[in-house]
Amino acid sequence: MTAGHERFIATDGVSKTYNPRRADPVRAVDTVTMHVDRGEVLVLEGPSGSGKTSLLSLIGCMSRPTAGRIVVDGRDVAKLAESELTMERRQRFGFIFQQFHLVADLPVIENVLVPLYPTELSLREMRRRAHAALGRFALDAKASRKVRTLSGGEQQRVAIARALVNDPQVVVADEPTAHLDRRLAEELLAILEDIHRDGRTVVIATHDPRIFDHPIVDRVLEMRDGRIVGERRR
Amino acid sequence: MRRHLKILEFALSALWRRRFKNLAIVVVYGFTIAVLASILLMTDAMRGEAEQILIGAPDLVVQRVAAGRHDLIPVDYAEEIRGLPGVGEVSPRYWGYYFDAFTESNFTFVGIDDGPPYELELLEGRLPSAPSECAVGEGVARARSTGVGHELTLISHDGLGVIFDVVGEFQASSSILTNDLVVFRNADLVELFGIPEGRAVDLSVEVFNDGEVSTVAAKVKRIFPDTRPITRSEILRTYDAVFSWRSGMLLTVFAAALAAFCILAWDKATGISAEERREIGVLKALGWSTRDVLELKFWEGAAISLTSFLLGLIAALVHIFLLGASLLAPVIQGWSVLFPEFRFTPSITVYQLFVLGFLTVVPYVASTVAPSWKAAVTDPEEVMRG
Amino acid sequence: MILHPGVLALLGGSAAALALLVAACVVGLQVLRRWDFSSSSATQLALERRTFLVSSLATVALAIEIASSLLFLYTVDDLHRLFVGAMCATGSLNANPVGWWVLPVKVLILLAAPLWIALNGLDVRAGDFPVIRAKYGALLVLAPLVAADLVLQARYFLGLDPAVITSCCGSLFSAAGSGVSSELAGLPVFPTMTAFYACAAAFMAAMAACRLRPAAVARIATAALALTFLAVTLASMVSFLSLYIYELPTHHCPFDVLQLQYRAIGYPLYASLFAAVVFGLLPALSLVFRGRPSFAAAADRAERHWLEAGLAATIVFVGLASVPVVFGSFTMRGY
Repeated sequence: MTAGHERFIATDGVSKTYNPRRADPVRAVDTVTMHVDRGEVLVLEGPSGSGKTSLLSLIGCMSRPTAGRIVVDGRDVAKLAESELTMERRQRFGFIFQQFHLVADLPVIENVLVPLYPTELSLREMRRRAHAALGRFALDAKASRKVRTLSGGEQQRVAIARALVNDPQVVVADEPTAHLDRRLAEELLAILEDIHRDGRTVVIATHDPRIFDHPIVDRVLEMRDGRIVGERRR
Repeated sequence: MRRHLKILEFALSALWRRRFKNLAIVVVYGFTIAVLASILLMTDAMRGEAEQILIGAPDLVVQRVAAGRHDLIPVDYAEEIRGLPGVGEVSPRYWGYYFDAFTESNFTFVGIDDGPPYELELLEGRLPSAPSECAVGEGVARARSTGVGHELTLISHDGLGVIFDVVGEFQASSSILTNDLVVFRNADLVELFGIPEGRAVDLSVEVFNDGEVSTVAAKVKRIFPDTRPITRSEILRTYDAVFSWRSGMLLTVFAAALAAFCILAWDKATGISAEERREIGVLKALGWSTRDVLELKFWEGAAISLTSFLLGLIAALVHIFLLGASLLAPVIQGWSVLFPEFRFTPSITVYQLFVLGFLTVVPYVASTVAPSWKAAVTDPEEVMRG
Repeated sequence: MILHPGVLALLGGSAAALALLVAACVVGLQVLRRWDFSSSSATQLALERRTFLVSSLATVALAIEIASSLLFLYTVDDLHRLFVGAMCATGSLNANPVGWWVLPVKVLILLAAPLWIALNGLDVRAGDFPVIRAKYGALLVLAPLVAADLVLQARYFLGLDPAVITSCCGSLFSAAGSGVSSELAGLPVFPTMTAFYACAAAFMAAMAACRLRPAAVARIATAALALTFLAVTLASMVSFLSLYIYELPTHHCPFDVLQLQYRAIGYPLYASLFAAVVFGLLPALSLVFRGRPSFAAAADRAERHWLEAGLAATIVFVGLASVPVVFGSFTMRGY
């Protein structure tokens, strides 16, 4: 499926500075203007420390920029209150973290349910959705197992099921292949392709060539020192 | 509504996951509650017991006071008091404290002629009806290793040993009054204590109309300026004040313990582990708002409070009503050497629960507000940055 | 001084509430000083996070105060046993008249605290903190009120002397005496009863109208009737409701209803009364801030629930109060 050209997320001169009042402020994102089209697979590529994770969390409504505008689906989110930002995050985004960030002592199903707790869905409906998400990755049989008893690949699929359980429009993944061997990385890319086929937008931050050379990727933005220095379209 | 219940469910499962860590706070919290509840329940039970006893007490007791010292009262006073309007029976009473050199403890001796002065329940035997007979309380029986069918030797006012036959023993449940009690016939007691002819320890006065008791008391005082009339309600109030004061006093002492507990609660709530912090970060990143996490923390606190409250309360009930307040009794009663093994009538009121809740849950909640907030505002971005 | 466990709980609780509220005020002022919602600086983000601290501190403090009002009534009622001549809370309060001053302060807190909590809820839900200045300003008014509550309670309890002989409700709330309370007791029964039921009906009608057709006039009318209803009901309590509950033509005490011998009917009575009044006041309060669209939206969503809850509370109250009037064996005929 090719990307449409409808702007879904757009940043305009966005900057993010950490420790702004200290002597050594860190400007992780430096006046970046970019966009994500609806339904495309976009990769932010760059070495560690280049600011791609910071840009990813800005796009994912996880933090607010120090300067600039971010428009998500027509709404300026740069100045939203924290609670509004949370609502955006809850309704539109699914996250896959570098270290999965699963709760090891909880059963698989509970981990997948976490994003649904603060909604008004009934427990029955929550469970239905969680089972559907797990079923997609052949994890339904292991729903009541503790996460710590699963293999790395299975844990990764639980993390992805969790990212999809709230039916997000955008899936954001931060270094998803960082700790994976070739086989698991292949598997992950296959899953991402599958997610993309649902019509979801996918944004990935990575420095792994296995990803940005993959055929599902529509566009690659190169980042260095908090700036975008290049764009490759496939 | 549904959202609140679901967050409650999540909170309970989170507590259960960290049950060993939470156990520590529940134990200390529960212990604090158990101590406070024991104090409250015990003083109220004692007050109730005293009130129960005083129900049967005379409406008015007239003592004689000589230069402020309690003195024996002439029995003739009774005739004149009986003449007052509204007054029924007036009878002289014989009683006193006896220091027992064998056991180094105090006994209370009461003389009776026509039935006991209060509702006394006999464990076995009967009340004394012939000279040289007596009935004893359980404490006395144990201290002097005697009982029904045995004898009790006492030293009379002139230093001679006198032997009494024990014909009855009182039940333990009417504890406060009967434990150190020995009951004789009046004549025996007069002889034992060497009370002069025509004198009594005090007079008990029956007043027909409860509302007239203080009027009668005032009249008695006017006719006999050397007397001190004491109304039953005065005694009740004194008991009330004494017990409230004792319990308040102890609670004040335990305020230090409460403060220590608050510090612990604060510390526990502040020092959340890195793992817990990461977990909250994940929740925030996955769409939980600060409000949701605050609510999660609120439910966690509520569950811990409720568990500790119930455990502490049960411990206190067991301690006071099953174990006879064995740990607290020496501190709180303290007016007689012979006061072992109480049996209180189990009772608990809504008011006690309310006060207890206020004394324990409020400090806990107050000291965990700020730490909960601190945890709830964890930046979701921290998760992304690893 | 009386070292009664309930007294310690009250003083401790009020002190804790005051400490939390003062902390909330201090943090609130810090927030307001640098507040700039249009900024997206890190400072502003930190301030927004602090608003949750202020909300938590203030909500807990006010919740403690609301619970402590109940505990105060209960304790004062319990204390009467310590005083010669006292038969209920009236006697305990007479034992040290400062106690009477605690009551109006408690009533004010009982009305203001839930209003603040509701306002805060709307402000948080609105998303962009439309009334943050007003609500923190209100905290600065509430804090002295809570302080006054603590000081008056402390003075009352410290000044209690069990040796004092006090007079009880019989002499205070009797139609023959003089003073405000006696005048209330001396109110003619049937006109007062008519006023009470008329007022209740008008209050409920206003809430229903406001629920069906929200408008500024209806909201203000509801609030005005809520306050009238509170005043008329408190007077009716002394004038005639008490008589039916006690089934005695001369027993006017508004506190004896708290005792177990009257099934502690006083607690649900007073609780439903205050709930009804607070829910009746909320629509008018939100009217003040309706200029902000985000707030108006949040208020619109909540208002229906307020009015429904207010109606329910009023029905519960009038029902509870009317049972002895309608079904009791006592009648006022001839009095």
